Amino acid sequence: MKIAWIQDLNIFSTGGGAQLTDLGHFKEGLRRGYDIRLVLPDSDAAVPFGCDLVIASNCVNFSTDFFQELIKKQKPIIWFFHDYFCKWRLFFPMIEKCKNCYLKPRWLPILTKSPLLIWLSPLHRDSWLWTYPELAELPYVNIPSAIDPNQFTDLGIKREGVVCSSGLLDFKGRPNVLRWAREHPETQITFLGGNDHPMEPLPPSCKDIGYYPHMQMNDVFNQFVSLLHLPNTPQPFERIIAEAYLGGCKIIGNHLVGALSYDWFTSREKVAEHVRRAPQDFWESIEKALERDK
Amino acid sequence: MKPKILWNNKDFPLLPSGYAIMGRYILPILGDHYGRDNVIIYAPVYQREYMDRWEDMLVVPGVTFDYGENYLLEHYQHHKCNILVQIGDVWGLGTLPDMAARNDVLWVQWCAVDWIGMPKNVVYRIRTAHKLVPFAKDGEAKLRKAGLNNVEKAIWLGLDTELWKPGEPGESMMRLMGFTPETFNILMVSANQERKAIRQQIEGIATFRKANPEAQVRFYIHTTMKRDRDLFADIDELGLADITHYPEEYLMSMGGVSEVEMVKMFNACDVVLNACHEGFGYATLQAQAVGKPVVYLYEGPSPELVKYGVGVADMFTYTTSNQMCQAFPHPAGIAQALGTVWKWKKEGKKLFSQKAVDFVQANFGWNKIAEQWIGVIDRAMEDRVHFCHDIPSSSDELQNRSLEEVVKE
Repeated sequence: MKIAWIQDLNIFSTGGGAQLTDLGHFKEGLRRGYDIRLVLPDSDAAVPFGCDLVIASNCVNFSTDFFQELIKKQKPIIWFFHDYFCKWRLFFPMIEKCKNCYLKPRWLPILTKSPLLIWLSPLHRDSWLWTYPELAELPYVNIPSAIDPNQFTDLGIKREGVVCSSGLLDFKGRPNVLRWAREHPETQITFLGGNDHPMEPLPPSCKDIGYYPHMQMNDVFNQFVSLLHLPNTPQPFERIIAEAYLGGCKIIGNHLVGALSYDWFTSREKVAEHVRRAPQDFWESIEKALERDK
Repeated sequence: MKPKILWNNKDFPLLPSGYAIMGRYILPILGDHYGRDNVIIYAPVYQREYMDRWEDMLVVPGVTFDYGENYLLEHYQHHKCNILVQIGDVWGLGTLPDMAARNDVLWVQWCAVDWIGMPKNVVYRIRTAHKLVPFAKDGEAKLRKAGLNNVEKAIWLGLDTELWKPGEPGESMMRLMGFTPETFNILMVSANQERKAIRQQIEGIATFRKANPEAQVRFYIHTTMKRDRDLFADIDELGLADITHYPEEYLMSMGGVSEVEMVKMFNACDVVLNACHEGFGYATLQAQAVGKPVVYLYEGPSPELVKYGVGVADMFTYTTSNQMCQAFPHPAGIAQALGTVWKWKKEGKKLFSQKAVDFVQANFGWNKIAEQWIGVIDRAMEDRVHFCHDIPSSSDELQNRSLEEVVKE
């Protein structure tokens, strides 16, 4: 089966969360013998039209007309959502106005033709249904981010303080973590992964150490007792939560973390099992959906 | 919430230019409606390096003599504006289209469309405007035909309808213009620019004069005589020096005459000559305001502004270095049109149309124009919310959910 994998970004060269997950699923698809073509915004737009199946991952750089054409040509499109179809994409405010989002009339007719919708967590799906309740009737599956649990383990070294990754970004809940820091002045908090307001002074118990490569994150997690993550908008999954948990950190999160909305997020063993088999679950769900639609 | 408007008027409102006059009349009305503190006037031309207040509204400076885009964004952000209204030509815009594409400004453009077709370089410049408000229905049709989906209903430019009325010009004005009740009095009020087709029009006067030797023609041209063209040379070459009057160079360099004098000037003539491809055509409208016939070009907005006059077909086009194709009349067409008006005069008809006067009074008062602008601004502000121009705050429910900690040991 020929499959077009539509992505805004090259999953082989950029390392954001969505790309890492896509890469895990992509490799598993190849292992299963599928002929998968990665379609980027500057790729030959005709490629998906010659495929049997389209998997639409991050795709804000592709037009709705393009997807409408694919539907006209009877190409099944499986939607693998990483964020939200919101103007602000990563920052879904989930306000009343979102129910009447101006983008909805463009996307709804396309999405409702899908044989399968894939979200990253129950919270992710629930948040989508705020704007698109019509999708509740469609076949779906929630599949966590693809993570290799062997890369994230408790090394048994001495730990101290709290780490907070991306917490100084506005859309990741900057006000919440700073409030938490003020309420827990005795706790040392180390921030990493970006700061939207670098000139703004942090509470004395906080320090910002900048970016760390993903490959070094297990070593980072093993230095800290806890990982703090308090977003103020619903985060689809947050692979860092699962990674830090597997890396031995206690998680201090909230109800807006997609990973924590899974009922199996109760032990490290269960988390390891689910994130390890995410690529298999991903393809099995697709195979079942296609079988159902035959 | 009342919007905070940055209005790029291009000129300080007290100056005598067309852009300045627009600002002079419309801004106080908008200021009264939205609050004078909520209207910031950006006037980069002639108003540099300092801030000022005019009619209780802040005037902020720029430092360029063109479109003044250099400080737009800074003023917009510093004064926490919600909407930028920019007046004028769009072909020269430089950085503003990119600012709008980046969501940095909510840009509404009140624009002239004085060309045929739609050059790509212009489309690229204007497609990021939130709303394009053409000066005339002709421009609206052209922008829509080009496939732009941000086009609003045209809003005509206004006129002080209390001032622009039929009236007696007075003897001194007639004398200054070289006019008498017996002569056939032609008025042209125009910037000395190639696009104004002054050469073709005065050639038309020369041709008309040859064809109608009995007509005692008098021509008053209100312009700067030496700019794009040396009109002294043109008039001399065409043999019109004996019938032509023009203003002093010093007077024009000081900004011309007051609007009160301009009204008298229009009331003094038999016919206004303005047969060029206009973006709007103030001289045409002013002629109609005092009920005088106008010789106008069929191309552009003039046909929608004229209730009393003689139209001239465009006979050739010229494409500028900006790929803008502009229409020009043939001198023979001008001569023929003048002949028609001359025939009316010879027949003893009063060269006056109450219908034209009523049309201007009913449609061009600044209150009426401002009312339409308030509609545009209010709709743009609604769009600002609907299209999420600003990152919204997350809902209260989300805020509450985010405060409830979930701990996994």
